[in-house]
Amino acid sequence: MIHFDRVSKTFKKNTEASLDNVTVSIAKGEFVTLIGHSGSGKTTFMKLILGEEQPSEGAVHFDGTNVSKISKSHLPRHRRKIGVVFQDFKLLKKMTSFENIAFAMEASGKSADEIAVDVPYIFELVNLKGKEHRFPHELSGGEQQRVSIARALINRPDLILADEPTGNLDPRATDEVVEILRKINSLGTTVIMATHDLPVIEKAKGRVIEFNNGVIISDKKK
Amino acid sequence: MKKSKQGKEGGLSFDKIFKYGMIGLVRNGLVSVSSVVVMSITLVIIAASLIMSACLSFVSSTIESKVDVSVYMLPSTPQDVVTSLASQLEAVEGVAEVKVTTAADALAQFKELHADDELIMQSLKELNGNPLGPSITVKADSPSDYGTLVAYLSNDTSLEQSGADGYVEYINFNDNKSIIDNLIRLSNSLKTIGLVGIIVFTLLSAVISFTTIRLGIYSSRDEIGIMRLVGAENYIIRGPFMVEGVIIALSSTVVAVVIMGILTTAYATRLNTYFGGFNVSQYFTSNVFQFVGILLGVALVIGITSAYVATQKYLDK
Repeated sequence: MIHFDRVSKTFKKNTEASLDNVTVSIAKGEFVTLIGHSGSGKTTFMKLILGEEQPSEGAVHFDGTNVSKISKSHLPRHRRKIGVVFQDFKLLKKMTSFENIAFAMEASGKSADEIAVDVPYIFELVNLKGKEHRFPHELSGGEQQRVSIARALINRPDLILADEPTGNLDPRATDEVVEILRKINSLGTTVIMATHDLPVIEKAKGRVIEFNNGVIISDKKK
Repeated sequence: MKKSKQGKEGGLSFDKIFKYGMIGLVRNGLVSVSSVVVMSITLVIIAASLIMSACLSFVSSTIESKVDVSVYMLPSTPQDVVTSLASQLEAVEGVAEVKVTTAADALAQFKELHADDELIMQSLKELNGNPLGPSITVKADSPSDYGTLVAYLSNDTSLEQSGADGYVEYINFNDNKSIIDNLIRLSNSLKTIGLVGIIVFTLLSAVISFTTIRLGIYSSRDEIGIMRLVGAENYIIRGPFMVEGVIIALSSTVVAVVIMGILTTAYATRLNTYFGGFNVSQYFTSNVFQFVGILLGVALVIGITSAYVATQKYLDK
């Protein structure tokens, strides 16, 4: 599903972690945990899959397509195949939880009927029923992250990218988020999660890829 | 999740874009109100500049209307010669109006003017006849036409055509030439000041308004980034901001027109004195639709362009 072919990425101002000659493949349905200290290259790895950054050398393939060859006008379509979850949730502050998820559906061309059916269902799935009309600032960190996961899931993406999804959460909320991601994976969606939280790595299971200074130093199945 | 049919991929209907524009406008209340206030001030400045230009144009026209050329003829001039010369002058290019004052009319006006001056009245009686000759007063279409007109009157051939050669006593234009030239210069300066004022104030206030809307969108740059990450097409991200721009433009136009209505009514009398009879309130009321059209046009251009340019910056990243 994803193939990094001798990918290097350098930044002119050294503001972000670089990658150095990374070659790796991730198959459909895998649960992959990316580990490594801050600045090791985990986030850059994800941004390259999303098409937010372009490789300086090599190529990133997603479902057989070279991501760096996707034109600007086709990038939104590529991104709609991927659900993204961030450490800081990245919810639209001026929209309620319901609207945040509905917006992602509307952006994918879903009808009002589909939204009326799917959004309440996803709220139940992430255990947020009754909080549909709350704004992000009216929710706890764990609840915001569950809204973020619900938004990532709503369009039934092929891949979920979760960048430090438990970084701002307490242990209980962390367990819930990891559990939801595992459940999503068990239904067939590929999940790539970046973390440097050891308990999370233990709970996640699956494949663990370790980065250090932009290089993959280990790749194991647990 | 229930599998349901999918609409146009990546599509969002206009009503949804409008809905998100309204949501942005309402939930970003303070920034929206600030944008409306700044744009309303912009439009008031533009409307005030237009009115000021009209005032200066009125003053300029008033000055121009005071300028004329009078051809004074000898008392012995036959009436048919006067009439013939008047007809000939009407046909000259650039002549707007020709007015004939007969010798009898001139005497009557003179008597009326000096009715209280016994010495003059007594002198007239002793003269035993009419010492005054007929005259022809000519107004040109524009001040610059007076030069052509005087050249025509100074040409003997022109006068010979109507048989007026030898009857012209004097033409007063040359006496007033320097005054007329100054008036023409003043009139042209007023028109230029009006035009430059409109352009300068419009540009300055448009830039301020443009920057305010861009700052409003700058505060939403993170949201634009999130919309991109969930795969929204550029027009879906940009659309609501442009809807906001249109609504800000419409609201500002209404506010500006109401403010201008109040201001022109409140200051009509005072400005009437300053501008020699120009009624700003009446001018604004009778041209209100043109004002609405111009202000709305400017507001829409500022609102839509600033929203487009500001979002483009974040969509290009």
